Amino acid sequence: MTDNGHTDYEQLARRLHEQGQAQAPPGLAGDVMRQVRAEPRRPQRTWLRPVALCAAVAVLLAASIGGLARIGGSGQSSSAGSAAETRSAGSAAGSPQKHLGNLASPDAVRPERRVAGVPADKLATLSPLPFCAAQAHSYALRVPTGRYATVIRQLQAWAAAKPAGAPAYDVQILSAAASARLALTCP
Amino acid sequence: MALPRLLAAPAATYDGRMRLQDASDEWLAKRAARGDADAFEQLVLRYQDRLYTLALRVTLSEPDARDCVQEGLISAWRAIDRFRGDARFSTWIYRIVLRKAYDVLDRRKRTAEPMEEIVIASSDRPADDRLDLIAALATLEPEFRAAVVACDVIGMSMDEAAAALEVPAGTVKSRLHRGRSRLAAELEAHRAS
Repeated sequence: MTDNGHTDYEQLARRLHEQGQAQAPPGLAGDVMRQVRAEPRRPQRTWLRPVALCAAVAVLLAASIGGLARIGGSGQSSSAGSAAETRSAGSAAGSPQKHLGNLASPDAVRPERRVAGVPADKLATLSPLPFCAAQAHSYALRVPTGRYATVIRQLQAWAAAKPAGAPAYDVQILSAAASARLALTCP
Repeated sequence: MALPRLLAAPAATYDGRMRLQDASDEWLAKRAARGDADAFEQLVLRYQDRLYTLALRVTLSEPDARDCVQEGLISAWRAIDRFRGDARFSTWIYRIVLRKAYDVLDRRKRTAEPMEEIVIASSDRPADDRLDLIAALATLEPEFRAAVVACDVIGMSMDEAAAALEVPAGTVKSRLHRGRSRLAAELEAHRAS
């Protein structure tokens, strides 16, 4: 860059600012405003957003409270499992799909997700016991959605009838896709 | 009809035509978002020359520049409730009009309209060195020209130009530097001839 006025950037910028300006054609603003006034804005419904937010929060809260209440109810029901229920579960294990609708209904006993003290020999009839490196005292059992309630009842029945001193495991039940196979895995 | 007291804007900034002229861009934009066409008109009057300059120097065509500004302002009116005030109103409206100008350049590239005709089509041709400067500006490639126009002609800050041109500030700086260099070289060559 030289000292020449044409090549001095500062002067160039100043010239651009002074000489580069143009005036909007007359009537431009008028044309714009005619079009603007021809399509008046819909007034913003500013109240709608907070109301929608409150409604969404209320629905979520209701759903959470409902869910918690169900979980609480299921604990009581499962601890009150009777011999009749055990027999029912035992027969259901033979034909799980037949009893599925009944067990899955809202009034049915909702089983725990974890069953303690399931005899090892009974557990092995569901799926081969995997070898777990950490000498685990528990297994995870993947259960297809359709058999979830039935299998839990079966496990509870086995746990209730466990002979004293027999090797047993805690079983955590995981719900799997309807097409999945029943499988025991390490926790 | 007078505005109800609760709905009325602060009396210090809005209780009539004269006060509207003193209001800030962002305040006017908020009013416009609520459907106040008078507030929007104030913004149109305030920005029409700068927007036209921007569009004219980028598109190099008066009819195209007029269309860009008109369409840009109508688009702004339709979308003004989405203007949140995070950026300055000026940056927002410059960006809208620049997009329209780039659309014109893209369309022109597709139809291969010759550049000379476009420059000559401008009536902005006084017979002094102003023509040299504007003609030299027209020889720059569009991205360099847009940076020079935004920063030097309109007077945007580097950050504002970056936001309006939708490129990083470093890119604006480099385009501005190269644009000015080429412009200076062009003027030098013109003087020598």
